[in-house]
Amino acid sequence: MNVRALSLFLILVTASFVRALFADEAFVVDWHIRSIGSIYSALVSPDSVAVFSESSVLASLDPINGTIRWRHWLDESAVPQHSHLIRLDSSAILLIAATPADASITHIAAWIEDSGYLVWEAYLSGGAPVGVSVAGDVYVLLSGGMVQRLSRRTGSEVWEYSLPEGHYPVDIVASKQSVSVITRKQDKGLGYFIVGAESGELASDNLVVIDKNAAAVPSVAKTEGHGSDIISWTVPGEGGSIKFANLSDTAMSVYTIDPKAPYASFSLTSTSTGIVATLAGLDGRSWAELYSTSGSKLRLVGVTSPTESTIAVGAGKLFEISKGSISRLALGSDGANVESRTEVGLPSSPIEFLTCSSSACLVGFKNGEYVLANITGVTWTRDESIADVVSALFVELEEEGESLSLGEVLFEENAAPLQAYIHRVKRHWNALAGLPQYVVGFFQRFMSGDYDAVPVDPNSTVTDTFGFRKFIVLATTKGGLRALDTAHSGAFAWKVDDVLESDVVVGIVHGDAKDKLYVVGKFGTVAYINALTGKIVTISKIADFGLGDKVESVVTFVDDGVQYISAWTAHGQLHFLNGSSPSKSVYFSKVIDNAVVGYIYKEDRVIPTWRFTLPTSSYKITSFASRDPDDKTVSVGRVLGDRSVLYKYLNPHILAVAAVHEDTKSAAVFLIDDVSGRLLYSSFHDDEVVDTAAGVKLVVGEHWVVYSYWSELATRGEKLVVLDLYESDVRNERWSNAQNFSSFTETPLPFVQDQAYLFPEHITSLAVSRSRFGITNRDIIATLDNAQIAVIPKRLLDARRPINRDPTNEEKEEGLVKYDALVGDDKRFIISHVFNVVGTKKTICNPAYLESTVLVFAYGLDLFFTRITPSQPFDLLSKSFNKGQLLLTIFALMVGVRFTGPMVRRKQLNIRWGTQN
Amino acid sequence: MATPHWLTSYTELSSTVVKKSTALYPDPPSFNKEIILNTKTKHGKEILGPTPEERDTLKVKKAWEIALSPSKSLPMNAIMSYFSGSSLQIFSLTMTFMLFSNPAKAIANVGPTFVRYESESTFSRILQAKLVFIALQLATIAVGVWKMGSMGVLPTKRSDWLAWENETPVLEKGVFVP
Repeated sequence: MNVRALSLFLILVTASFVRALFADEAFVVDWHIRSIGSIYSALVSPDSVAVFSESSVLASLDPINGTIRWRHWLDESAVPQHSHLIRLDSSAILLIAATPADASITHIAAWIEDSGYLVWEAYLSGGAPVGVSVAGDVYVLLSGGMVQRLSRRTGSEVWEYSLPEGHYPVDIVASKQSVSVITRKQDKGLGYFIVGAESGELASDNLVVIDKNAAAVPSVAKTEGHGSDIISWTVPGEGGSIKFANLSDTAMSVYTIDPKAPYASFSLTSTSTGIVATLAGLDGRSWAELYSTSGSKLRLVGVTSPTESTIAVGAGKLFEISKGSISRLALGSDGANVESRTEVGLPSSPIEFLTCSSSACLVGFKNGEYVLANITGVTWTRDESIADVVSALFVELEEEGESLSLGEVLFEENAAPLQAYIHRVKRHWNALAGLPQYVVGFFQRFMSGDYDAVPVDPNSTVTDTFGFRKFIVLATTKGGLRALDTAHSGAFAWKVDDVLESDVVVGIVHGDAKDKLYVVGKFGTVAYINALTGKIVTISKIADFGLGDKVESVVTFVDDGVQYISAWTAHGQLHFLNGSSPSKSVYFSKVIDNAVVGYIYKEDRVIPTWRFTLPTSSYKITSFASRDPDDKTVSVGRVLGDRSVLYKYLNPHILAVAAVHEDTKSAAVFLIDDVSGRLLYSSFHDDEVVDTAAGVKLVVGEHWVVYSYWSELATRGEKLVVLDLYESDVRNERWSNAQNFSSFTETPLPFVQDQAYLFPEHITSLAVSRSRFGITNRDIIATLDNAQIAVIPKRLLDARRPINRDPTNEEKEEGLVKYDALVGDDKRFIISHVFNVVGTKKTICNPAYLESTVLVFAYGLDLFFTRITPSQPFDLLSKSFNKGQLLLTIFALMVGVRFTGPMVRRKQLNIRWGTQN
Repeated sequence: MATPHWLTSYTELSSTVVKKSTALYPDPPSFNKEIILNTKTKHGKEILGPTPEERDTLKVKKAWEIALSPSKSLPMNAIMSYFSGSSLQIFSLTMTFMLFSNPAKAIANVGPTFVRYESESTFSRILQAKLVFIALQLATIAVGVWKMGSMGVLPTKRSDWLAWENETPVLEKGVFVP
């Protein structure tokens, strides 16, 4: 044991800080799934599908296979709400949106559709975009009442016009000659001004009133149709009548449609055959009505029969999409004629998004799937639900040896000897069937030195030799679950939609059996599912769930060897989901209203006990972290160079809370005991200018805390601070010895050593690696806002590093290197290499069977998976290890011994007989 | 049956035989029979064999010489141990091994080593020598122990027992609700 520990210690000490990912491992051990998120608006054409998503991603999808041709994450320049994505010309698209930092500034940019290159961009002050119209140049209407004409080629302003006082901008329609600015005013109603396209001045001072009664209409829809642009609106209290006006019609007559049935939503489009109204009924059925206009007369030409499908108009064509088919309709006086119909299998989830071109429709479903379908069938499907993950966890797969079930073992142990013998022989005989495959696999593996040489069957639920294959189960905001196979580039192992029957997923935790999961919904729905197949075992509502109560978080903990799974609700209730509730007191703590509140759970009741408030109310809690309960401690102390020991402060109740002060732009970190509420340590960064919006990122490890924040002073950059907690500053002193540790006894405060470092990139989140037995060094995993993921060895973030002097011999033995303020400027720390891992919010880690290897999964918008070895792969032979040479050497030695053995024996015999001198 | 003459003459080399044999064969040239048979020097002085006391004293002296012999190599061992450094190298490891194995062997063989000098009359004095011999071998081992200590392989420090120290059991169960 000691020898093993010693050799392991040597390995760990001699392991260098350099940890490059080898070129032959890239794309093999890691994978990356790019996403765009839920689509907010799309432009579908035969050559491309341009989309702008809720996650502020502007992307172009390949119309053939649905892959992302290019994408830009515009999280700093565009918010999807009220954004407009329109075509500028045949090769460029235009995105206009409010900026996230300041809603009164609008960002407008033109992009080449094929390449994603930026043609021009401009920032317009004057409010959020209300309308945009392209007629040669670009005409923009802003919420501040400003109309701007921008050059199509450069984006520079040609002229600007401001609406008169009191007119609310509604929309804008431009033609080569004039620009119609639709406004509404309290006393005048809905109307429009005509502005000269060249001059930028009012053609006539008068407001052309369209509808006097529509002064308070919240939304007026404009549709740019195949024939001409129309605006449509409804006036409350007029019995659901839809009014519309054709803007290219000089008379600007107002027509009124009275749909044949009550509707939930409508859309009007002008086509070459007339005005098509597509309506969604209150009963979920949809229909379309075709009207022709002649003069001021409106005539109903035809109407389709309501069906359980979704109807949309694309480039003048009417499409009807249902679960089983996609049809193109021609609406005439004799009703709807089906021009073509194709039976297709579409997701059964309700349709939430539909945009059609003349040939194809981009259909978005409630489960997060997007389908590009044309009249011949489905071209491709993209699942974008994985771009918005609520919670993710690793699921262990079965081990190969587990084919021997418990039942079989029990049978063989308890049956009569002969029976048991026959059973075992049979079992072995059956196992022989796999022998040829095993032998082939063995040699393949042997020859290549690659344990991945024998691929694991993607349909099996068996892990590989070293436990690299696991499932990652994602719970999405769309209410579904997706299981990703880590060994097959994140392919879906299984997926379930709407797992909680339209409840909102709050959390997903492991059940008491390792292959079972609990999925908990906001309104008290609990699904118990098989993690290997996705099958729902049971689904139920939490008993005695309070009226109007909501589940806030799902907590799982182990006490005295029993696992408890509980849901914490907004009313401060605790519901235990797996039938067992703890008999002894359990202490809970939670961040509520900018304070940490402690609770005691006793006799089925949750009673608040203490409250930790920040020094002043100006401090806002931005983040908090506690130690992973599964994190293991191998050694209770840290061995110093002179072989004395500094004992680690291993209080499992440490809760780190970080807060920022908005006024002074400072940050503070507090370490509190989450059982007693006692303040253990605090640190204030008052003399810095902290980016309070980004907040403080925190991670708690074994006996240390690492946090980071961006500050402008003293040196601009991300500050990475490490706090190492020890029981005492006196070596070899351990007060926690022998007696039980209790948070309520007056134990000494931890001795804290700290050091700060400068990191060159913005860090968006921090995580810590966790190995199987906790012997391997720990790495800090940082997701960066430049779409990369970095690992920083904890050994480098060591508060004992000597400052301004070289380490002494004793310090070198400890593994300490001279302090260098800059950390992480080494590109070898980047584990995401060429991948652009955009929008990562969180990283989770899980150990492989190998002690050296940790599986890392980052999620957010994109998904990224890799394996890291913080202390080098010390328990794994490298692929370049020459097994052949080793075997040849052994063989040669065997041959040598075989021949020299008899020779030596003969010689010795001769010496004894004296026949040889 | 009498023993044949040739057998006695070949197997026994007592003076009587020599005496007897003189009758049979002439002495070789320049062989002075007197010197052999009468233990007298050419000066006529009689050479007397050492008395038993002298013989014992001699044996004890010889035994002490052997007993004290490890003390000669002791300073050398110590100096070499000191200068070979505390790193774990094959040289210093072999040397340290020798510092243990050689004394151990010597102590195990202490009986055979001194058996030549042992007799009933010298027993107690030889015993003293033996004890000193063992003590000096132990001193060599002590040098080895010191050497191991300087190499850091003796569990003398707190960190050597750290692996047997356990985490303190925690009385309360605290759960943080995220």
